[in-house]
Formats: sequence, structure tokens, C-alpha cells
Amino acid sequence: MPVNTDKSTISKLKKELSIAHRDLKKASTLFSSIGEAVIVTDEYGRIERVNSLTEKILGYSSNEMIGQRFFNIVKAVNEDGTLIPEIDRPITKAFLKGSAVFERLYYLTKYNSMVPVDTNVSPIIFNNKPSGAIEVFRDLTDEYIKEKIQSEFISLASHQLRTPLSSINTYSQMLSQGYAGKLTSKQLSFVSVIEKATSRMNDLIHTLLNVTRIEAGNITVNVKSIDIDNLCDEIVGSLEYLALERGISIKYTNDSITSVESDPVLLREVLSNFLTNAIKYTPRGGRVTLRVEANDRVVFSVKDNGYGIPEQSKNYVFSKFYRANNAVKNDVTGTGIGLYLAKEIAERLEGDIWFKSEINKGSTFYFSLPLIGSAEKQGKFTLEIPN
Amino acid sequence: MANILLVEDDKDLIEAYALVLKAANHKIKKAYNGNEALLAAKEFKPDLILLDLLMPIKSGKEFLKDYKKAKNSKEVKIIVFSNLQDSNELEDVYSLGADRYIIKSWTGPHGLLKIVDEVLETKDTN
Repeated sequence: MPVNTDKSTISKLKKELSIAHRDLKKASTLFSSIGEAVIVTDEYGRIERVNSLTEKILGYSSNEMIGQRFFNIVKAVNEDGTLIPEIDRPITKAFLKGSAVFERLYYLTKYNSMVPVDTNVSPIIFNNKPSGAIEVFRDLTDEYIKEKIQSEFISLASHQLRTPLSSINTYSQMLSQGYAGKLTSKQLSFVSVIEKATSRMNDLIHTLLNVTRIEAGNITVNVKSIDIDNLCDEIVGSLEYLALERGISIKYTNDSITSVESDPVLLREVLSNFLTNAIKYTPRGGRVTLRVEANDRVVFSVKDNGYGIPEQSKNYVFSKFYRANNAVKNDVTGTGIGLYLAKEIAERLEGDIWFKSEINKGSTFYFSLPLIGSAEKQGKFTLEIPN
Repeated sequence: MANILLVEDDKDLIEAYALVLKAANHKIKKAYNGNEALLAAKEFKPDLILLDLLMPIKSGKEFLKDYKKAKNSKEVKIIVFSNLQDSNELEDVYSLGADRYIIKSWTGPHGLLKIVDEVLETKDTN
């Protein structure tokens, strides 16, 4: 075949070669500057390319890795240190599936330490055949350390805050229950103030720790078949004393559904929050009703004929620490956390949460779940419930 | 009436629990850490142990690990009484053989007596 050697062709080829060189250099620079670790393998799992972040995380130089089978040089392990077999490695799965695989696992570095990583592996398809794979992974060490610190804080805070409360609670109840002899009615009324304050402090710690748990990461959803009447009767029963003290009548109605699949602890937290608010923000002589209905969803509602929510406050009702002006005026003890917590839980349970309210006429808070209920979810924390 | 071994490093609280349980006609022995509790359990032969978790020298969990190896310890009921509460803690103590887990700051004398009676009842029915 004759070769065209005229000047313009040579010059054109030189220009194209220079562009190709420049593009190659650019691609190579881009590859090494990617903010995540990247490993490219051929169809036999041999490493073809790695970027600098991969070298940094795994401790091997690119020369040590390139040409080696990925499975041989970089071992993948579970949290307990057991080896993940080749067949279960994300790269194998991506090859077999022919599509991207996302997994969280640990890699063993050159120095035998375990690095938690989030991996994302995609097969490279060339001429309709897998010709290799590209794995992008992220080092989760910092996130794991942060989670550990948060978890330790929650554990320590709950212990340290409750230790002095245990003594106050035990000794004040011993006084009121006559363990130190019979008290006069005045002494009893003084001790009763201490008991109430202790109980309130316990509730505050309980709520604050639950908020910390929710904000520290996802909470576990333990799905069970819930007997709705049992749960609602129990919640209403636990608040009857508060309602009586505030002169509020409280009732529960349900004529349509007997059970739902969800997390009873979390559902209880949402409904208790609705009911406690309704009791607190309804004047003496008022009525509070917990109602359960089922149409295309299971709807729990708590209706009161209380103070209602001012128009300008409606957008902020589920915000953390927000309290409407009339709420502050009528009950100084609120924290503005309950409905925030309820909303976070509702989302975790795949539920919807909303309200209707008219000033000085009352409010109705709603929480709905899909008829099939909530899905089981593994989280880092379990919500705390009083025993 | 039962033999109850109280294991708690907080002197104020252990005195309070002792007073409440004695008034309910239980026989009480006190230990201030896991080591003392192991020794006391040999002599005292408790029906029930009320156990704190965070204690100096030997913690409640360490005590449970050692104590559950002892002969006849299976028949002894264990109530863990702590202010620690997270799911891992709960799982750990139940897997080590505890029968109940109670949060101290939520439980007054009446609550304590009620739970002690409930747990002792399960011992009788077993």
C-alpha cells in the first residue's frame, strides 16, 4: 500500500499525534487526580491501572499492584476479619451480573490493617463482552471513628446524667413511701415537687438522647405485628394521669383495623408525642381523641380542642427546638423536640406526618403508614424506651 | 423471702436498695465490685443478684462472665440495674445470662420490689 508522504499529510498526522499525546496525558492526570480510589482490571481480574489514592489507602505502590490478580494482592474481609471468598467479591458479582455492584466491606492493607470501604464496581463492556472491571472505593475510616465517638458519647452521657438522678429518684420516693417514717402533708408536698422535677429531668434526658441517636445515624426499625388496640390502650393508659391532672378527657376510637406491621417502640414514641402535646396545649375541660382509620393507608390521628397553632408558626412546627408563642405562654416546660423527633421517626417508618390546626379551636395531628406497614431496617442505634 | 446479693459501687444507692429490700423481708448481702460479688456469692448462696454494670476492679459484665461458669449459677436470677442503655449493652448482658435489665434512674423503690418479685416468681415456676 503506497504511503502518502506529502508535507501536508505529515504535518496533519503530527498534529493529530500531538493532540492524542495531550489527551492521553490529560486522561492520565485526570485518573490520578480522582478524589476516590480507583482500580481497573482486565477480564481475568489482573490489575491494569490504579490511581494514587488507591496506593495511599492500600499501602502498595502501583508497581506492586499492576499485573497482579486483584484477589491475590488485596484481600477482602468481613467486619469480624473472616476472608471474603473470590466468588463473593463485588468484582466477581459485577462480572456475573453484568451490571454495577455496590458493597461495604474491609480491605486488608499491605501492613495487614483492616480498612472499611464503600465499593462501587462496574464491568467494562467492550463489543458486548466484559473486558474488565473498574472499581471505585472510598475509605470510611474517618466516618467509622466519628460514629464510634458519637456512640460512646451517647453511652457515657446517658450514664453520667442519670447517675445523680438515680439517687435523687430513689431517696425522694423512699421518703414519700414512708421508709424514713411518716411525713406530714407539707413534707409530702415538698417531696412530691422533687419527684416531679426528677421525672421531668428523666424525660428530658430520654428525649435528648433519642435525638442524639437519630442524628448520629439511622435507628433500627424492628418490625413486628402490632395489635393496634393493645398499643393505643397502653399509650392512652400511660397518659391518663397527666390528662386527669390537667382536667382533660382522653379517649381512643378504632373501628376499622386490628393490626399493622411496624416498630411498636417507634410508633409508640410518635403517638405519645402527639397525645402529650394535645393534653398540654388544651385548656382544662378539653377533649383529646386518638383515632385509627384505614383507607389506602393506616391513619393515626390525635385531635384536640385546644389553643391551636398560629398561622405564622405552622411552617416550623416540626423544626427542632421551635415552640409557637402561644405554646410558650401556656406551657413553659416544653422543649420543642417532640414533634421534630416524631417527624424523623415517621420518615424512618416510611410514614407521613402532617397536621391541621385552627387558632383557639384546636389541632389534629396525623401519622399514616402504608397498609403493608414499615420495612425492617438495620441501624446503628435502637431508640430508648422507659421501662 | 429470698437471699439477694446487691452488687453496686455507689454507697448511697446500695444502702437505699438494702433498706427497701430488707423492709420487704429479704435477706441482703452487699458487694461493691465484681470481685467482692464473686466471693460473696460462694458464701451467701443468693437466689437473686441485683447487679450494677460500671464498677471499679471488676465490672458487672466481667462478673457475669466468671460467675456463670460456677456450679448452680444457672438457678440464680440476675437483674442488671444500670444507667447504661444501648442495644449492644442489652444484647451483651442477656447473652451473658441476665434475666432483666432495668434503668436505675427510672426505677423507684416500688418499681424495684415489683421487678424483684416478678423475677423471683419465674425462679419458683422454673
